[in-house]
Amino acid sequence: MLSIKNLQVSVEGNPILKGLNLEIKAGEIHAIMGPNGSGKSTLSHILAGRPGYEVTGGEVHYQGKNLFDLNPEERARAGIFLAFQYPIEIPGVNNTSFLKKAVNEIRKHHGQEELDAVDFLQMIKAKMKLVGMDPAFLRRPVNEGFSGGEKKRNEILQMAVLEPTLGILDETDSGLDIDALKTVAEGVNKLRTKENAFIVVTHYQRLLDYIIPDFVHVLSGGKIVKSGGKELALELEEKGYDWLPQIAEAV
Amino acid sequence: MSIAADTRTRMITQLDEWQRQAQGNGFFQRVRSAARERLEVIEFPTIKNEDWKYTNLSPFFKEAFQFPGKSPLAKNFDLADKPVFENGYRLVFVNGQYLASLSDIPEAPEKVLILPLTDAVLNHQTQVENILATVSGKVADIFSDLATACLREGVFINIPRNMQPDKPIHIFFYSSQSETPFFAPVRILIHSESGSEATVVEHYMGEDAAIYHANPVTQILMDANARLSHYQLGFESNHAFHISRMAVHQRRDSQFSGWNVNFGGRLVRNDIYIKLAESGSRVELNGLSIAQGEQHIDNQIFIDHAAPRTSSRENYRNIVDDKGHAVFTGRVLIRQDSQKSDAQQVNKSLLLSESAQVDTRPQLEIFADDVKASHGATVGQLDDDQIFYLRTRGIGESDARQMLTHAFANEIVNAIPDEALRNFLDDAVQQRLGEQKSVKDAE
Repeated sequence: MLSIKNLQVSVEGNPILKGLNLEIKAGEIHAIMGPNGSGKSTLSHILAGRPGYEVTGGEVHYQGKNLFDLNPEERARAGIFLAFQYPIEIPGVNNTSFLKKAVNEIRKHHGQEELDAVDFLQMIKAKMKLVGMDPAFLRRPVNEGFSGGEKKRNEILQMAVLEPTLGILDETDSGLDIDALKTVAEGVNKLRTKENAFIVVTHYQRLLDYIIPDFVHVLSGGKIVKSGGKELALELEEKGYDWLPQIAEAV
Repeated sequence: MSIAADTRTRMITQLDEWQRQAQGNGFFQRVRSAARERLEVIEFPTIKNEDWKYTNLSPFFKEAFQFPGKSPLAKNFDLADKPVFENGYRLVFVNGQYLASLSDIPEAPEKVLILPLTDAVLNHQTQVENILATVSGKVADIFSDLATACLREGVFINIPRNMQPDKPIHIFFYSSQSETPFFAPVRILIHSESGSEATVVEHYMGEDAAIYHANPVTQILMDANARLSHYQLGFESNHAFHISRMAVHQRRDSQFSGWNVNFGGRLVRNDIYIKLAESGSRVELNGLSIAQGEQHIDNQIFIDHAAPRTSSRENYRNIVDDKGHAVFTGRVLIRQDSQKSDAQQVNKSLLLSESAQVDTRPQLEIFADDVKASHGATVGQLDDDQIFYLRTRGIGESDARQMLTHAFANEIVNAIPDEALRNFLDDAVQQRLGEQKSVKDAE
């Protein structure tokens, strides 16, 4: 589904990713861990198409297509979804009209009929139940005045509504209490199918108690320095990152 | 001679000719003559005048507007395809002339009075005179004196004590394309008696290519405890000159809520003067202007806190695209004896292109020491992070921009209490911004 080869990315002339390789297949959950400043968020953003990054080398293919040929909205329509670490507040746009527009753009892309107000509302209420969100949030402006936990829930709601093929969770667990964390994880687990895949970017192991990854990768100094199964996360929690020889080298 | 002086000479010559031929009772004649005398000593303002620093009238001087009476009425004028409101009393003016056949006003004369001015001066002259005498705007203003010198067309509304009309009052001014550009001065006189409550909508609309000079003058007198919601909706033609004057005189504990929307017009200039004449009076003014193409929209507001415990709120927003230019001047005067008064002013502008221009000037003059006053002005562009966020949800870039621009406008529109008007304006914003978007997408 996603194939990243020797990816090199700079921001304002500073290299951040320095030859990253990653292969993701349908049905898999990959966790990406690593110390602060290792390039985790850069990886999430560049997959979603955020402007301001310069690709200096390597390639990324998504469903056989060169990802860099697609702009952010085309990537979203093709099934890539980024749950933001810091969801953006949009005063004056209510959640309903925003979600309805997003759903219908994606449906249009797939040649499906657009949902009318009634069908949309029925669908969205079911999804809100799934992620444990009060329907009152529909009338509020997107993320405006939401608490940290409410914003993250809203991200998972959007993911549930848009049903991506590749979901990227960028530190979705940061700033969440344990109940919110469980709800978010449950949401992801219910969305999981054999056809889709997830990248879970996280600093902590605790989210991985609830979302069980198939693979765990350690990103450091702009490269993946170690990969393993879910037990690697536990090892990292116990020992920290310093024992990894490559990190010691990079520092 | 300058083009401004030429224009003045031409207009006064036309005015004299118009006055010689004009019908009207003695009252009209008296009022017109007095204004004509004042015109002897008033010149058109230039950009050297501080109040006109950002609005150059040169394009206005290039058009020779015909005086009323010479402008032909629109033939076969039909309301059916116009966005008039269903649920309200209605007065219809076409090219500045009242059309009784299309209007719908109450018949019971002992209650709420809603009349064309020409009828009002016959039976309610004292009341008309009372408003003209009590509610004054700026002295020596050439545009209001020109309008007064040919006073005839307009509306007189009287809401008696403790009355509440069962429906909003809609005044629809339509301007159609004609062979020669025309001058359309109209007068709106409103008296809200004590304890009354009403909604009045001035709705200006012009045919696409019509060239005219709309010159409405609104004078509102509010007695103690009266409440009035007042809307000026400007959907003039993109070739029109809309120069409006409004003055409101507020007595004890009265409350005026004003909404000023400017979407059309080539050159728009609105002067609003609010006199909080007695204690406890409150005013809230909201404005939304969208300047596109080469539109120029200038709002000049003067709030005079002339009594203690008076309060004012101003919330004006501009959306400026292409080579548009928006101007906001908000003058607030709190006089020495107006203690415990409270004034808040906010002006926010959104610039959508490199060549769009905004000038914003807050002017606070405070002579009382126990008052609250604040002002804030921001000028900015659409937020890149917000655009990116919407795009990651599958929304195309130009749609994302439009949504965010619409959201900026919504913060004014969503505060409109009347649901029908709110929906009407929401659609109008969408349409105005959408038209622009489709032009850009086609390019």
